[in-house]
Amino acid sequence: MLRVVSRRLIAILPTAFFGSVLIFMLVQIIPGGAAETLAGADASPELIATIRDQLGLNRPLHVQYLSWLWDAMQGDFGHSLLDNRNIGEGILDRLPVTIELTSAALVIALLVGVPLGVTSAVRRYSAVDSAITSVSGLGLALPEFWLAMLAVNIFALKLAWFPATGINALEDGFWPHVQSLVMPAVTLASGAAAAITRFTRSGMIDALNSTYIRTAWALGLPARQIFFRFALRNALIPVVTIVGIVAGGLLGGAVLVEDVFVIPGLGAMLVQGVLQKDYPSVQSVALVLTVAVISINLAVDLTCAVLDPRTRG
Amino acid sequence: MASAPLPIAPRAESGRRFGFLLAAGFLLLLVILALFASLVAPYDPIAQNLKMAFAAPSFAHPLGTDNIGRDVLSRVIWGARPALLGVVITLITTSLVGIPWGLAAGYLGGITDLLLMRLADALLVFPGIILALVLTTVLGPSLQSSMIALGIVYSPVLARVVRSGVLSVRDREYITVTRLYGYSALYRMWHHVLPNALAPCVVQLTLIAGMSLLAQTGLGFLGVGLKPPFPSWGGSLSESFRYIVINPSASFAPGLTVALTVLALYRIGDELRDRLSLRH
Repeated sequence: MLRVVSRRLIAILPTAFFGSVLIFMLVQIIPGGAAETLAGADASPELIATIRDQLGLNRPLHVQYLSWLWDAMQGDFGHSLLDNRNIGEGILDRLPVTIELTSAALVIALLVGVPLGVTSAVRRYSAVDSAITSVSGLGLALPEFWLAMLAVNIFALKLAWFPATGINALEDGFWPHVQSLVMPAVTLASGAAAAITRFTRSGMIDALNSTYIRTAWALGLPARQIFFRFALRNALIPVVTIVGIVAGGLLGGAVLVEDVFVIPGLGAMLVQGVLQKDYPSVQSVALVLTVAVISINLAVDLTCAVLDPRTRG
Repeated sequence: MASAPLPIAPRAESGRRFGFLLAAGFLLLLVILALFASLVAPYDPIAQNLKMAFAAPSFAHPLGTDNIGRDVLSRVIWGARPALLGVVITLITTSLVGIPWGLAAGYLGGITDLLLMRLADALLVFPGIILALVLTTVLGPSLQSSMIALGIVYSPVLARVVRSGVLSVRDREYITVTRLYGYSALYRMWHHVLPNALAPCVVQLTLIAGMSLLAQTGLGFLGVGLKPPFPSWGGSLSESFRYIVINPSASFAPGLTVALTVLALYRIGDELRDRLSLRH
């Protein structure tokens, strides 16, 4: 197992390298130059020179990259260009709520998607199957933030079951916290649940069509045992594989859902940075999200290796 | 892989066909509405009429009006222009970047393949909308730049599909024969390898069209994209959200249009995949 872990760790190095270089290069490739864009159209050469100096753009490229990466690895992301606040502290403030929202949505998506996919596959070509397939098709096509808008209108503003904005702090009580998390997490989970339903269905159908299941039927084993003990276990392996991609998509969707519910997470920080041209903030948030996605994928890979000895190779 | 052919009931088959025709018809309608928006739309999409603000759906305004009295239907119709144009820009960018990328990786192989596919893995790790947001910072916030950014985001997906298509035909006899004619590698790739790897590409592009419309609407909602007052579906959703309690219809129409369009694109992609895989 130790060999598997070390191999996977080495395998993510190029991805991490390319990812960090890409994010680093953003400021370098801004048409017209980052300092010139920030200074404005009719800035004096002195001002531009000062900004270049401030951003450290005068140093050689590899020196800039290495010092940026070295500082970032130690949690020093520099200061925001807007209000000069420490970016690392801002990220630390905002990271927990984004992680909680995304994980809650992932759990909901799995709890909804896997049973629906299994039901759909076991009752293949029945009315239940076509209903589930239609609903999951709809789930893939509906923008999550639009569902969030409609949910706010119905369940928060009309029925007042849930708060319309923000996440209540955990210190103010467990139930108010959960109550405020329900709508953002459920609406964010909609697309992911649909994707997981589809993957579970096709994985389960493949498993049910395999020879070992035919053997199990021939041996006269009970249906329950065949479905859950043999078919489902094998069907879930491709589902676990896509959890990494689904989690990445949830982080992306969270940017929009956080905007609808006015949740002060990483997404809000990213959007503000983009709209205000706060390059260091954008780079830092993007780097943190990239590391998050890479870590999730690594965890998924290792889970697969534990579940399925064939993938340990 | 399947031990027995999957039974498909004739009724299910005709239902699927109907769904496909419906999807194609809806997209065709949308293209026509977008092309002839100035003739079809009942009102000027940016003309304000504060006396008529928040009007409920009526005969004069079938989908009601928004917070400053603009006709929602007209804005949805005009919004089809940037939406479809954006999807086209994304698809062109994805093809321009992704097809040569996949061709080079699949055809040249070796270390080039390894490097190009590692780069694709690195890009695929990024959630699409986040990478598009970050790239938009660089290119400047406008419809074109965010659509080009999305095109770059999706190009590794296409590159992978092209690469596996190329790998499946590269060593077939009819490709090897073209070497004897003395054509250049570039010519053979373009005229002999690519056409045989194109079918899965088309399917993938249909799916990318759907994803890019969803992402584009999201970017518009966040204020990255077309600037107001010009009508875009994402922008309309963001403007109407503030008044959703008193005027839900202005939030309903643009969102539903996006959902139906994406649904239609995915339906067509599924159908194309089924038909193209039947041929093998």
